[in-house]
Amino acid sequence: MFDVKKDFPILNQKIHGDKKLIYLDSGATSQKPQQVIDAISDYYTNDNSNVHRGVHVLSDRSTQAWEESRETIASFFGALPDEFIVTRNTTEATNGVAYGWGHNIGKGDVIVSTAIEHHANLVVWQEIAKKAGATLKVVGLKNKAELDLDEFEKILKAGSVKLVAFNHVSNSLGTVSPVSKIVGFVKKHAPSARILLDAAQSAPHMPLDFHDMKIDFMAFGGHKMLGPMGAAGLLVRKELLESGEMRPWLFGGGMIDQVGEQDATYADNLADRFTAGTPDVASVRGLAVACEYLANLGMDEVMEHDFSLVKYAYEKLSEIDNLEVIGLKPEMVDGAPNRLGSVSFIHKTVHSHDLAQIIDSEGVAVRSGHHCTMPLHVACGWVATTRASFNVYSLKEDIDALIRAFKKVEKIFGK
Amino acid sequence: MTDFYQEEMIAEFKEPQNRGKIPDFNFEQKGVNASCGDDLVVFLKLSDDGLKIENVGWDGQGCVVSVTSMSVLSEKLKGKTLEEVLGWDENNLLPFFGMEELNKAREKCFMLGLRTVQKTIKNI
Repeated sequence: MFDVKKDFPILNQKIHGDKKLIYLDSGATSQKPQQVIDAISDYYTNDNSNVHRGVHVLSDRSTQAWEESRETIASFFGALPDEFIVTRNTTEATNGVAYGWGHNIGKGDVIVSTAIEHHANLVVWQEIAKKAGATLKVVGLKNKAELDLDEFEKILKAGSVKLVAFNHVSNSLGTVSPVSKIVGFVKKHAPSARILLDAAQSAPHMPLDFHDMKIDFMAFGGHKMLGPMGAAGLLVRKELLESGEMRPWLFGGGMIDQVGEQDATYADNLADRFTAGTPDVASVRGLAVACEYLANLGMDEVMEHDFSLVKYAYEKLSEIDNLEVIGLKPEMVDGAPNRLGSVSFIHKTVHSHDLAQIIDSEGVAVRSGHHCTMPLHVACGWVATTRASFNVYSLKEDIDALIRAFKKVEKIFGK
Repeated sequence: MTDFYQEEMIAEFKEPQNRGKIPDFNFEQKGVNASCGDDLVVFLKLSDDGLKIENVGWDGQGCVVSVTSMSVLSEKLKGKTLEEVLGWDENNLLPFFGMEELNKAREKCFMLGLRTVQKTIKNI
């Protein structure tokens, strides 16, 4: 394990008087290292100008920052710069698939999603299914912890599947979906279906190679992986962009080739075609620096670090009276962790909101609620859960502080 | 420590007032805070002229804040006119909790009961 807390200035503060801030809400958003903060500040201090279409020095620097950053981020995920469409967040990325590619879905077609999806990868497909007259089939759960792969295969075999949209790491359960197995099912039973992977909760914690995974779309959020809020992305396999199967869904400045009064043609350059309007160069620069920061740590090491925290938290929380820790017992399955990023729990008598607030009063930030996974919570009969989630700066001592905070819970509510 | 977890509040939470369906209610309304899982249902029995709240019951589950707020509110509602209750806001409840200002993060929990009652009245 490594200790990089010193790179994250926000963590060096006390709250509620003399309580050291312990941040265990990285699944909602990660904190940012000084390097990322500096990159954004430097951009506005020295280089700010609009990209392209300018010949002056600042415009040139800004354009360079934009293009180099795009390259850095794309290559971090094993993708080509042309395959990377910049979005504001993961939700905008899944909406990008819906509105840039969704026209391929018609009446009677089937969209497959799962019971563990974040609303970002479910509600958007409910909308598209309604509009197109398509059917949305939702793969269920096994043991309140993982996808039912038999059901997944059955749904794929039943035919008419146009799109399979599923998440890589569940933000509520922490479960890692077996991507290669699921992709294998799709290639076997529904070879023409496209695959969208929601990597919002995997990108911060494990190495990802867009091409190796043999998927068509991947959505990720930069702010969960040490980058700033407002910079995220959708990766789209190049063939889909070149063939026009995936179309631009935002129109206007920057994305055009020729514009007449009644008609326009769109930029041949794929990056331009999907960048309508002035981009957020500073944030994308910040995300590129975040990718460099993670690459320096090494994503294999990052995954190992995270998995150690998950195992430790699972073990320690399981020892607390009246607490049900949800999800799979952490272990290596086929050489990879079966869960990452977070550990969620339910107190038998204390509501998750009260739990989170009392824990906060001890300086420890955790999140409570349904974590944008209402169907999962309903299916499992959970009103709400409390989640401790991690990132590279998290340490076992942070989890110890969380465990200590339960003493206060006991004091207030009794054992 | 936040004000919400004083002993009196925990006591109110553990033994809330007017919990349960009342036998002769005229109106029933569900109130939910989807994002945190507070889930209440309110039962109102009006006076014969339909202008006043005669009796109140409620049920459901929620956090300390939503449950104690609902509990205190349920007792305060009795005998009040519908019009009066429609004009209430957090200031009608805060004094009981010894607070001057509402904690923004718990605003939805705190106001769930009152909002549900007001919704019932508006729908009458």
